[in-house]
Amino acid sequence: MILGRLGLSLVCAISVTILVRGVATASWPEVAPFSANIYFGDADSASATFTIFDLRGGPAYLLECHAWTYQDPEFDYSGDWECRLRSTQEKHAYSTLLTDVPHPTRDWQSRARFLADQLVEKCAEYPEYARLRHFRLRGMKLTFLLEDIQFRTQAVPSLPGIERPAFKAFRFKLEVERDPSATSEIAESVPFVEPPYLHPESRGDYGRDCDHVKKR
Amino acid sequence: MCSAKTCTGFGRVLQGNNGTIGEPDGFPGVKVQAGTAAIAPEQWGMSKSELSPYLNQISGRIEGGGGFQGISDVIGGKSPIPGMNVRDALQVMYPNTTLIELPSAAVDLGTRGITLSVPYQVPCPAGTRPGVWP
Repeated sequence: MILGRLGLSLVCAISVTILVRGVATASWPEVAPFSANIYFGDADSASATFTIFDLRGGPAYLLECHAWTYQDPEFDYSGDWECRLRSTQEKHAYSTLLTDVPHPTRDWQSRARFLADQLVEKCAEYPEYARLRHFRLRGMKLTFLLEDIQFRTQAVPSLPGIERPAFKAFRFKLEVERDPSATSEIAESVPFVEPPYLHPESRGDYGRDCDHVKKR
Repeated sequence: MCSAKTCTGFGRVLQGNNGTIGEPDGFPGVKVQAGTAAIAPEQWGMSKSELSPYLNQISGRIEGGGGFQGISDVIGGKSPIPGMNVRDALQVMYPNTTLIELPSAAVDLGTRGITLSVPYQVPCPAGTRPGVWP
């Protein structure tokens, strides 16, 4: 009897879970898969906007990617390459859906901001914070990959005499896929910690500790 | 030679997120420093690129105590008004004030009188005007 009730409870729990996951998934538009591959010979002026369509052919999301030099009153781009995702079908509070921070206070709080210092030497292969990054949310998976990167140094205007690593040129590969197992409103967090600066208090020192992959 | 001017007025002084300290901020090559402020660049009449050379030359005192030395970030993230970016939303909610967010602040300070020291090349931000308090 007790086992029977437990079994019933378990079935109910599974049903509720499936229902909740089903509702959550169904509330997002199903996106049409696509991919892109763009080479930017001048990283300072790198710029691309992608419309992600739903299966009926209507626009569902806008993915806007720019360098920090791009002026946008709606979003503060601050990366050497940074992408912002927003819905075209709803008003949401997040400045980008690619954040995995529930209550972000900055536009840059997402892994969709690529900084050159995250991609130099051994840091380039660090999972989810380097050349290859995945974002799972709203029934889809977005994959960003940077290749053919050429680096240079760039003066920091507010720090006379200081130079930082920057991109000279790069290739951006994008893949958008359906992923019904991704049900969150914003990007799922990844099981890794961003490689920290070796000297976070030091202005002008952009070295990161990428020797060991750190898990959350 | 006097290279700075004083701007006075009112600021909406927000408590920031001290978890951002040490992180690369909204200005390329700059890390968030304790004791600095985040702002809305559009209130300062200059683009972010134009404002960048002067970040370390801007400071402020806040009525009742406290202040900041230098700018090191841009206010952003989740908006209190869905569909409107957070900086625009805060300007709608707190008109005629300079938005200042202090990552090191222990509490939200509300709307306070502020006195800013800014280079002559930089306009006084929205919510303030040149000169000292009468």
